[in-house]
Order: sequence, then structure tokens, then C-alpha cells
Amino acid sequence: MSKVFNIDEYENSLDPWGYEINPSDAVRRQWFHTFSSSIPKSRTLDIGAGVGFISKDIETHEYVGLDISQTSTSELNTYFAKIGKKNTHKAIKGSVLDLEIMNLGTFDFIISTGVFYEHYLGKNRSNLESQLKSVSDYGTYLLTIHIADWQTLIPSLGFIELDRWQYPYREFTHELILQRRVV
Amino acid sequence: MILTFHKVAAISKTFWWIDNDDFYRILNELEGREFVYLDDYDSKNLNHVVVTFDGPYSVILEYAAHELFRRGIPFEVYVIGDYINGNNQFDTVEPLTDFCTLEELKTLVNLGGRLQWHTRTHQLGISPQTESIVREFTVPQELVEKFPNHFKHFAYPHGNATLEMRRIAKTLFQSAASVDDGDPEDKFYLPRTTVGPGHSFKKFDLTLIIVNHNYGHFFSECIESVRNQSLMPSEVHVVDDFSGDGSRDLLPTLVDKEELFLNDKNLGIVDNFNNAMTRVTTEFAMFLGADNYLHPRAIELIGRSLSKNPVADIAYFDMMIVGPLGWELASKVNAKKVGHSTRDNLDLFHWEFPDFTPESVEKLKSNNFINGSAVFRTEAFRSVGGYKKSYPEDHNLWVRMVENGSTAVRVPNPLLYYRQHSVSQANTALNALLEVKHLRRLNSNLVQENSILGANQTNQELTKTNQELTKTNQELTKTNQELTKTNQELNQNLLLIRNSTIWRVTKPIRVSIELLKKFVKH
Repeated sequence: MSKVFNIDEYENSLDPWGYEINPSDAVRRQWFHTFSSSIPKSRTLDIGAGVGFISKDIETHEYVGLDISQTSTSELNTYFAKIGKKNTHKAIKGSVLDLEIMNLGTFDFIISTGVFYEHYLGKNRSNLESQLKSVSDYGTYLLTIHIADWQTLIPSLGFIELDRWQYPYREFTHELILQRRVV
Repeated sequence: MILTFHKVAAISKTFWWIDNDDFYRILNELEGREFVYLDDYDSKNLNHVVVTFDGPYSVILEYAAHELFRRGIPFEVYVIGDYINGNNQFDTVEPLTDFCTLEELKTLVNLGGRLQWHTRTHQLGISPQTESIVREFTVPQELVEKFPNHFKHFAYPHGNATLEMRRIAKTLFQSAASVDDGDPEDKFYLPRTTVGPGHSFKKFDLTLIIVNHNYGHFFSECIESVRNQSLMPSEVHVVDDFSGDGSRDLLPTLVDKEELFLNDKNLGIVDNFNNAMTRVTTEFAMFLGADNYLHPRAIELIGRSLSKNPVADIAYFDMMIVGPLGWELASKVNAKKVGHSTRDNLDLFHWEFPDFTPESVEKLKSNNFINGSAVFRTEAFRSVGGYKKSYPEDHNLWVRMVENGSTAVRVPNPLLYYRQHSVSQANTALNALLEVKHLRRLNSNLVQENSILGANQTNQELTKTNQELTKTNQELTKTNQELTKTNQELNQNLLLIRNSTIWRVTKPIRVSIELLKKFVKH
């Protein structure tokens, strides 16, 4: 928690946390697919998508990857163009706290891994919930994966918990929570 | 009541900053009050609330205005004219913070804000001349033209309001506000309440009572759900009704800040619940079975709902049906399947209840829709004599309360996870808990042993060091004695030399040599 988030370093790097080379992250991706495989996905939003390490290849009709890094979003858009999905899949630069004014419409599957931390977003849980409400509908699934000891912002208002799963991740414990909006 | 906020942001930096979650909490606490513009404010109406911001800080647009807009809450922003598009450089004790640009002020207006005047520079001496007051108090024509129907109200800088300032304010505005001083009767010296971090307007005064009878295996999940509430109850009581499953050993190890009560005999539901209620001193109470658990926002949402409906004596809510036998109850009550747990390989169901309407009330006697964990007003509970031995006891209580004039409000969220469990599940959970208990005891013993071992080891090391020190001390004493002896011998020898004949005979020669040395030197 004491590590200061260096946004410039993050913005200029394609893999600032070494996901591609760390076996723990391959495990993380595996758990993500285990818990999300049965969820119907028409429109998917990945908040903090980066270069799409977790979600770029999931089966979904439409995909939006949101990230504050221009470098990452450009890279992800290049990937979608390369695989012939640029009409349905896109990455855009932006913050989760601006979702409401971005007019992205609503999604039936929202993912976020390693974003909803107080040291990134401040004491903003209520605002975060309002933002997520603006991009979700009755029935929307929300799947989050975070370091268990650090997560204090995981939204809950309007969402109910379906699943919770913990597994070792690097020197920490990861917690996967699957929720669904039912009001 | 006129509230004064300064800055709302992700993090509170000083007393004048409120973090976003605090801001939302304060708005929640004020739900049920009538939010008005200053134009409509009646200081005698205790239900009226005006939200004002001192200074059009850009963080207000970023963190507060959109939420006020979502909730339909009007707000006023006091503008310091010369610093539009600038910052608060005049406020040297505060972190440098940007003010809105003209475009951003327009956005604030579009979100329901009204702009009011807070002087040109926010800097007036203690006894300013009339002309400097007039200059500071006058809104520039270009601003008036850009924002017609705004700038009708005024706030004194630093709350300073001399009689001359008030006289001038009366000629230019419809009202003027001070800071924390003021007189509600004087439209040109209205008091405002400064809102700082942690400021609270209304506490939801609730005692949550967890009741356990042979549900020790589910207790951890239940109490953790209470501890993880976004709004904590005033008091949490845990009551064990003489369980025979090991709960009486287990609960004291799991209960921490909560109050624990262990019944000496099994009272049964009605007597146990009534007995637990004798200890309640808060405005509201609720029971939670130890085999169930709460949604993390349950208390907050119930509190908000009761705040909006202050006459209601009961607040009830939807439920999630969980557990291996959930499907059975769900099919009986027509609850909707809303998901599947991969971990437990079980379905989850949403049990919705009707709103509290004259039509639903008519059917309450035959068809209960208020669950046993509904929150109720303590006084209303007592006025009907509490629970009676008439099954189902909670249904009977709600019917009597409603017949006695109580009204209820429904929170349309599933706030309780209602567990339908099987014997095998209970036993699996019980085994796991007993294992945890065993491991805890083992750990505790190990910690104790480790502590004893650690103490013994330290003691041995200290003894060894002490012995080494004693040895060194002895050696030093011996060396000292030897040195003293040598010194004495040397002194004795020196005396012998000085008293010898040869030393006395050679004295003139030594003196001559010394003199010769001095002569050569000069």
C-alpha cells in the first residue's frame, strides 16, 4: 500500500507490472475464465483493460476496453484491427470515474482487475457505484479481481454476490468476486 | 439550515475538504429533508436545507455537482469574481486549488447550481471604507449578463458582517449569509453551518441482535457480514440460547467488540427474543439469525429508507435465498433464479416482496411479506407487548403492530441472505469450524510455548553474558592489583636510587650538564 502509483511510468509502458512474464498472472487469467465462462456476454466492458491481458480474447459481441494509458489503448486497438474486430471491439482512454459522461451505453458484463483500490481512486466508493450504475442494467454481471487485503472499494449497491474465490497471487492473495445487479 | 461546503474531493486534505464518501454519507443522512434554493428558503422551516459552496472550486464540479444533479438537489455556489479561472492564492494556509473557468461555471448551472456573490477578492479589512465595500459587493455587469437570474444572494467574506456591510448588502441583494454566526431572523445576517470531515446530521440508532441456537458453524459468516457493513449499527448484541453444538465455547473466541450474552437455559424463540429486547435502548432494533448474513449495504439502505419515511415503524426488504435447499423454498415462493455459484455449484434466488400499500396490508394477515429480520421501532414493539407465543411469532408481531397503527416501508433490495441448509452441510461446516477451533487452540499453545522457550533462551543468554562479565571483571581486578604492585615496587626502587651514595655524589655533574644544555640552546 505504501508504494506510490507512478502514473507516468504506467502510461508509457505496455506491461508495467510484468503480467506477460509472471506465472501468477497466467493463473489469474485461468481463474477469470473459469468463473466467467458461463456468463452470457453481449456487450463487455473491461475497466483498466491495459493491453487486454485478461479479456481481449473473450467471446463477446461487443467489447470496450477502458484504460487511462494512451499507449495501452493504442496497442489494444492495433490488436483488434489485426484480428479483424475493429468494428465491434475498441479500446478507449478514460477513467472509471468519468464513465457516466462518456455515454458508452450499458453492458451485460463488466470486468475490472486491480483498479478499485483506494490508493488509485481515493475515498470514492459511492461515486464508483454511481459510475457503474450508469453503465449497467438489471442483470449485469460484475467480475472483479483484486488483492484481498487492499480492496475496500468493491461496489455492492444494487449488486448481489454470486461467487467469491481466493487464490495465491505473487506474494499476496487474490480475491475474485462475481456480482450481479438485481435491482 | 444553510450548509457551507468548501471542497469535495477524492481525499480530504484539511478541515475544509470533505472526501467523496463523506459527502455522499452526509447527503444520505439528510434524505427526507426539503432541499431548496436560497430564493425559497424559509429559516423558520426546520425541514428546509440549502446546500452552498464557498468558492467555485473546480473539484466541486468534479466530485459533488454530478451527484447533486443525480439526486435532484439544488445548490448555490458563492463566486469570488476576480478569481474565476484562477485559484485560491489569497488563501495562504490552504493547498493551492483551482477555481472554475467560465465554461465550468456554466456546467455547474446546467447541473442545477445557482451562482451567488462572495465579493471580488474575498479580502476586506476589519473596518473598510464604504466605497471599498461597495466595490467588493458589486457584481460586474459582464457576469450579470452572462448569468441572468443569478447573483441575487451574498455571503460575507470570512463571515465578517459589520453594520455598514449589512446596510450595503441590503441595497444590492435579496439575502446575505454569514458563516457560523448569524441570526435566522435577519435575512441579511443568515447563519450557515460549516460542514467538515466526519460531520454528522443524523445517526441511525439501531441495535442489531444476532440470535444463535446450534448455528455455531454458520456464525463466522454471519458476524463478518455485520462487521463489513458500510454503516455500522449503534450496538451489536450476540445472544446464544443455550446451544448444545459447541457454540458456547466457540462464540467467545469469535465475538470481539460485540456484546455477548449466553443464556443459562434454553428460553425458546419468543422468550429469548423478548428477553434480548429488554436490553435494547436504541430507537430501532433488528434480529438476525446466526445462520443468515447481510448484504454489505443493508444497514445503510435501511437507515436511508427510514430517514426518508420518518413515520414508518418497520423497514423490510427483499431476500436472497441461498444454500443447498434454496431451490426448494424458491419454488414454493416463486423466487427468481438470478445466478449460479461456481464455487458451491448452487443456484441463488431473489425473493421479492410487495410494497407496503393498502392492498398488500389487507393481505398481510394471510400472507406475510415482512421477514423476521425486518427493522422495527423499539417503542412500537413494546407498545404491542413484544412477541407472543403464536406461530409464526414474527408474522404475528407485524400484524399486531400494523393493527396498532404502525406503517412500514419496503427497501427494494435483497439485503438478507436467507440460508436453506441441509444436515450434511451443517455437519461439514461444523467439522470445519471445529478444525479451526482446534487449530486456534494449537496455535495459542504454540505461541505460549514459544514465549516460554523464548524467555528461557533469553535468560540463559543473559546468565552466560553475566558470567562472562564477572570473569572479565575478575581479570581486570587482578590486572589492577598487579599494576598497583608494580607501581609500588617501582616507587620503592626510585626511593632507593635517590637515597644511594652514588646518586648524591654525581649530583654536581648532573647540574653542570643541565646548565651546559641551556647555554648551548641560547
